[in-house]
Amino acid sequence: MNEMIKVSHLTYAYTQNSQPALDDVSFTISSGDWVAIVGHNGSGKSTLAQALDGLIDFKLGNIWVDGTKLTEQSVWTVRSNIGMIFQNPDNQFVGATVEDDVAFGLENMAVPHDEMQARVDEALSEVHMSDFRRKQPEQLSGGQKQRVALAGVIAMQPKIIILDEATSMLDPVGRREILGVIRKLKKRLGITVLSITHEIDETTDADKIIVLNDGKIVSTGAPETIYSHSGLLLKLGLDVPYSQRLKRELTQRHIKTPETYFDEEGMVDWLWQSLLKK
Amino acid sequence: MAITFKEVTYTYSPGTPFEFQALKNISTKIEDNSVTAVIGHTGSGKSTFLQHLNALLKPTGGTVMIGNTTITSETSNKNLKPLRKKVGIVFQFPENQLFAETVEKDIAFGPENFGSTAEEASKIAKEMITLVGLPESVLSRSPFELSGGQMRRVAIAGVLAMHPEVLVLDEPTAGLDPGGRREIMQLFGDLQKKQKFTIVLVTHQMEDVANYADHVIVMEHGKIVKEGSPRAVFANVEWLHEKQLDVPASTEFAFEMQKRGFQFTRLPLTESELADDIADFFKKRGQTHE
Amino acid sequence: MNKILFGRYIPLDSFVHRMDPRSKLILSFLYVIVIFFANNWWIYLLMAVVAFVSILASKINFKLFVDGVMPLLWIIAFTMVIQILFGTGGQTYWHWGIFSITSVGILNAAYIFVRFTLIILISTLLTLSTSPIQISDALESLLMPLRKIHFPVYEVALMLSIALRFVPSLMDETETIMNAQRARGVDFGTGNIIQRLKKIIPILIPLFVSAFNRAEDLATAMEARGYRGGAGRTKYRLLKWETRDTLATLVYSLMAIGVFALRLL
Repeated sequence: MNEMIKVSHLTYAYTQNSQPALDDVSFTISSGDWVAIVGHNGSGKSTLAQALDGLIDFKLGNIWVDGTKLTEQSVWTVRSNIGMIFQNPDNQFVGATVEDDVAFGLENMAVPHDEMQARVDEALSEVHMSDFRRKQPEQLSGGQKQRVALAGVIAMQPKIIILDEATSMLDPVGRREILGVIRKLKKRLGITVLSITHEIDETTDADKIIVLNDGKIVSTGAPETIYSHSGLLLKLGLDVPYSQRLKRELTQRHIKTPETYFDEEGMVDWLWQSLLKK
Repeated sequence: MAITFKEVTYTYSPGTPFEFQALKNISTKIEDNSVTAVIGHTGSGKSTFLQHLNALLKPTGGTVMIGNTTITSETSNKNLKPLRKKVGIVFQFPENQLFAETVEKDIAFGPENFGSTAEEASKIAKEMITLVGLPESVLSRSPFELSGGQMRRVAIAGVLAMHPEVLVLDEPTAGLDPGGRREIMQLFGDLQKKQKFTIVLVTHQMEDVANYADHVIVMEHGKIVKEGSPRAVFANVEWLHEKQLDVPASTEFAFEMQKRGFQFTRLPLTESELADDIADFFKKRGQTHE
Repeated sequence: MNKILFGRYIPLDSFVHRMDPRSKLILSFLYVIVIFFANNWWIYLLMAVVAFVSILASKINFKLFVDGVMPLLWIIAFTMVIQILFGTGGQTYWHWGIFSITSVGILNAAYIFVRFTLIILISTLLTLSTSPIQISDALESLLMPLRKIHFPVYEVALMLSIALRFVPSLMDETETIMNAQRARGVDFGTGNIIQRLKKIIPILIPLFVSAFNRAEDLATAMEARGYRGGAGRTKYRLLKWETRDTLATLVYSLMAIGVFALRLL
């Protein structure tokens, strides 16, 4: 598997004297992987997302996206490989209607009209928003707007999708909808997904989790490994998966629980095995 | 202070092509000193409901009794000010309402509008900033220099500064990270224990409902479709699933255990309740390990 | 939950709705110019018939047009009174200092009433049947020749369409902020002018802050989606001149010819 994103010794501060928002950050993401970057608000995760897309001007460190080194000259090539979805559903909706918004990126790429039409249609059906194509943004819920944003990204056929806290302003239904669509897309199109979030529940699909704090990577690993450090997660202002929380409570009640990480289903299974299985 | 709704309806833009009935025949009572949680999807009428709690909206039909004041469609917009002092609303993303040059002036804004002198208001600002867990040194800073979480606390302090008897919270933790969410909810929990507030909380966080609420109102399409204690409302997991509403994680977990044959006398709402139940199961099986 | 859509555009499927916004814009303009050449009742009758046929072809409820005229009734009435009191010529019925009521004055006032009403009806028809974004598209297309003198037509059109797109968001935002400040004891309806102006500050500042934040977010999102200026972009929404536009142009041209013929009466 080749490297889709490589970040090496990336350092960035918003102003000269402030503490760096990113401090010597290095990691790689393989093609087709789902990587989650978690950290509390202000930990530097959104800065990192913007750096990857060449939206901030960093001086120290290097970024390669699909083999291309990110420079002032290559930034538009790099951007064409990355689709980004931002936090606020309302503030990234450029078009007057759903279909106009999906077409915005294609217009920028000077895609011919017929092809544009076909790609808009396809992208809208991919996110189940075809029936809403003539709706205006104020007629949509937050979750629907984010699905439109996703359609805008899909239409441009990027290799990487970056979700920059894309669910943090949505209600649970909107959140489930958008994650469901992404899961499906990743499976079908093999897109590399980088999701930036503070919701630990949204990292269960990840192949790898990177934990960020004060601009530094404090831990990297598979979800099971990261989840088992529940003390660290809590200390960093994050949450712990429910099964881990329950384990802590059970340990306090002198019930011995297995060391390895179980998701909720696994945990129910374990309880059944220990208590009900004859 | 109690608030009673009697057959309240509310229609936006009546008589136009955009007419929309947001509340349909709502009757309920918010008890004095209770914590009431309002749950439901976006667009279920929750926000419209909230705005009736201090007469920002007046019902199109029916009556709202706020303490001893009766609000109907005929109520004049004058003389509502004393009511607004009694019922404080923390809107969604309240940091978006900050405007003053300093944090102190912003917090003092409410009290001054309700007739406090500048000195009184400044004294209140000092009390409030400590109450929401920020250092006094923040008072002289511009609210726009603060972090998002701090701005939210300042905005909350600005509402608490009016010493309301009822506190209405519209998704007070939206957009915060888990640490921030825990701290803010803790703040309201402590406050309620200390000062005996009536709190109305709109939230999607069912954990918070389980931990803090005495009464739950479930809204859908402008109607109250269920209400009762958290235990009663969350007992019907299947019904809530059908409505695409969440249940507390512990209830959900116990529900899954039930499917595998575990028997609960009542579904647990919190982690510690569930852990107790599981500990009981182990005890019964005589396998409690040390 | 504010369901009011900006611009009072009524989305329907009709002959007028399906017309190219450029032809609607040009024909409305033509109508307004031609009506200033009207000098007798026959012309007004002809133009009124054209206006009513156009309104019928839009399938929009006539009540909405009446609603459009109502707020402007005062201005019309005021202009009419001026015309009646100061108009001279023909028979004089009443006279006091510089004021006089004459038959020509009354006739002119009646003309003004009809003229204003027809102009309002036809411009209301344009805004009710054409979404703001279509109007912005039409302007972009019609202003294209200005590119020769380096006028940034694409950028201006995009600016206009984004501004239109954010009007409802900012209106919602204003309402929320007003509610929040009202809940903190602000009474917007009372006080003298200075007190009232002071009360605007707690609304304006948060609104500015939010507008700037939005602008920043939007700029970032646009850049991330590959926006690098207007030149070289293709367009998703194409304007297409169809038979119905030719037909409408024909009707309006005939009307214009008719008006000039009737002037000779």
